[in-house]
Amino acid sequence: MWKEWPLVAFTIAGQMAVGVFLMCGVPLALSVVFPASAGPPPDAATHGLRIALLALVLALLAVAALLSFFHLHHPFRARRVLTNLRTSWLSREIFFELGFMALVALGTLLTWRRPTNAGLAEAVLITAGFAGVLFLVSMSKLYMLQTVPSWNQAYTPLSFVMTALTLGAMATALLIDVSVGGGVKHRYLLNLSSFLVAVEIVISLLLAPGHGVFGPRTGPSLRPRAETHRLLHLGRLTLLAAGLFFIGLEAMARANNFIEMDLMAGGFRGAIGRGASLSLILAFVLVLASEVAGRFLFYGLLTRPGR
Amino acid sequence: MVTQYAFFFNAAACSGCKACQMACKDRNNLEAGVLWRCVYEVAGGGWEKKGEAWVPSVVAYNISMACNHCEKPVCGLSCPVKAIWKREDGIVFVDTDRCIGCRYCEWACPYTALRFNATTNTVSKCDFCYDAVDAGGTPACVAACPQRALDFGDLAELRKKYGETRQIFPLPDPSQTDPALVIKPHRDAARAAERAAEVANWEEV
Repeated sequence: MWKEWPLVAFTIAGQMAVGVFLMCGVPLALSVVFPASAGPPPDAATHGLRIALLALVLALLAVAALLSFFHLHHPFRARRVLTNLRTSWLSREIFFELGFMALVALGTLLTWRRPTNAGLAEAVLITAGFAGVLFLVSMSKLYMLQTVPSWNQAYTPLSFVMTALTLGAMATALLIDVSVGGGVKHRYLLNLSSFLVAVEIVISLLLAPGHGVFGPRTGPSLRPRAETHRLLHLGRLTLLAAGLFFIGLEAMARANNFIEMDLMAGGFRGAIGRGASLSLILAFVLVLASEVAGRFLFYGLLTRPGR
Repeated sequence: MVTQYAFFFNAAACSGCKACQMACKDRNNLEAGVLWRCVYEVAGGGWEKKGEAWVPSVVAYNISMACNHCEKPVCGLSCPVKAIWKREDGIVFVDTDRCIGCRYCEWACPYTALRFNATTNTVSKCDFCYDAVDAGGTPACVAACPQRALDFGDLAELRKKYGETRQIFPLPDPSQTDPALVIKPHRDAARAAERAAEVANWEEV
C-alpha cells in the first residue's frame, strides 16, 4: 500500500489541477456562453490572477506527470504508453492528461500575450476544460475494473471528483488570497469549499464502508485480504472535519467582515504577503492530508500476491 | 489446428503436493517469490451440532492455478504499451522487452497470474511452455503432476473430454475474462462458500 505513493501523488495532483482549472474556468466559460454575465473587461490584477491560476494548473500537471514515472520500473520505455488507446484506460488517461496540459499551456500563452482575438484563448481554454473532465473520467475508468469489485463501485469516481472539486476550490481560494488579497470578494469559494468538504464527509461515511474498508470481501477471490489500515478511514474523516472547522471559521470571519480581528489570520498576514490567513492554510493542509490518507486507503483495498 | 490452448485441472485428484509449482519454477528458473503456477489450499468450516453430537464439518481442497490464457485477456487489454499479446493458438505472452513495469495488468488479472519479477523489473507469467508445446511436448506442470490432475490441449477438445466447468470457489466469475480452463470440482467445492472457506496458505502463493 505505501509503495503506491507515486500513484497517490499523481492522482491527487492531477485531480487538483482539474479542480483548480474548473474553479477558474467555469466562470470564464459561462461568460462566453452568456455574454451578458461577462461584466466589465478584466483589469490588470484579474489578468495576473488568471495567469497565476493557469500556471498553478500547469505546475500541478507537470508535478503529477513527473511523479507518475516513479511507479514505472522501466521509465525510459514510457514513450510507448499511448500505443494502446483502443483498449487501455491507462493509455487514455495519459493521453487526456497530456492533451489537457498542452491545451492549458496554449491557453495560458494566448491569455498572457493578450492577443487581439481573445476568443481564441477562451476557445482553447474551454476545450482544455473538456480534456480535463475526460482526464478525470479516464482516471476513474482505469480503476473501475470489472475484475476488482472493491474498486468497481460508484465511490471510485465520486471520491475522485470530490478530491478535484474540494482541493480545486481550496487551492484557488488560497492562491487568490496570496496574489490579490483576501476579503469578501471571493467568499463564495470558501462557502463552496465548506459545502464540498461537508459533502465529502457524508459520502465517505456512507459509501466507504461498502467499498471494502469494513466488512467481508466483496466476493470470492484469489487475492489476499486487503492490507489497508482501517485507521486511515477514521483519520481521513477526522482530518476532513478539522479542515471543515477551519474553513468554516474563515468563511464566517469574512462573512462578518471582522477578518482583521482574526488573531490566527493576523499572525500570518505579514509573512505570506497579501493575506492568506492561517486558518485557510490550515484547512487546506488538513484536507490535503485527508485526501492522501483516503488515497492510501483506496490503494490498500487491493493486495497483490507475491512481491 | 489448435485455436485456443487450455489447461484442465482435476481438483478432486489434486493432493496439493506442489510438484507442478516446483516444476514450473525449475523450468523457468524463477527466483524466490515469483510463481507462475501456484497451489492454493482452500479450507473452511468447523464443528457442527447433529443431534446431541458435535461433528466436524470442514471443507478442504487444493487449486492449482496459472495463467488461464483467457479468451478475453484483460491483462493485455489493460496494458498501455501492448506488451501482452495473444498468439494464434491462444497462448498469452508478456513481451518483457516492451513492458514498462507499471503493474496495471496485475490489478486487472483476477487469477493473479501476473507476477512481478524483480530481476527483469517487469511482470511475468506462465507462457504455457510454448517452446516445448510447439515441439510436440508437454508443459512442465502437466508433466510433473504425479496424480495426473493437470492436462492441456485445445479448449474445445478438453470441454468434450472433461465438461464445461470453469469456476469453483474461490475463483472469480469466469465471464470477466473467459478463461481457457476446464475444472473437475472437488466434492467440497460446492459447500465452500457456505462454510466461509478461505485460502489457507497466502504466505506460499
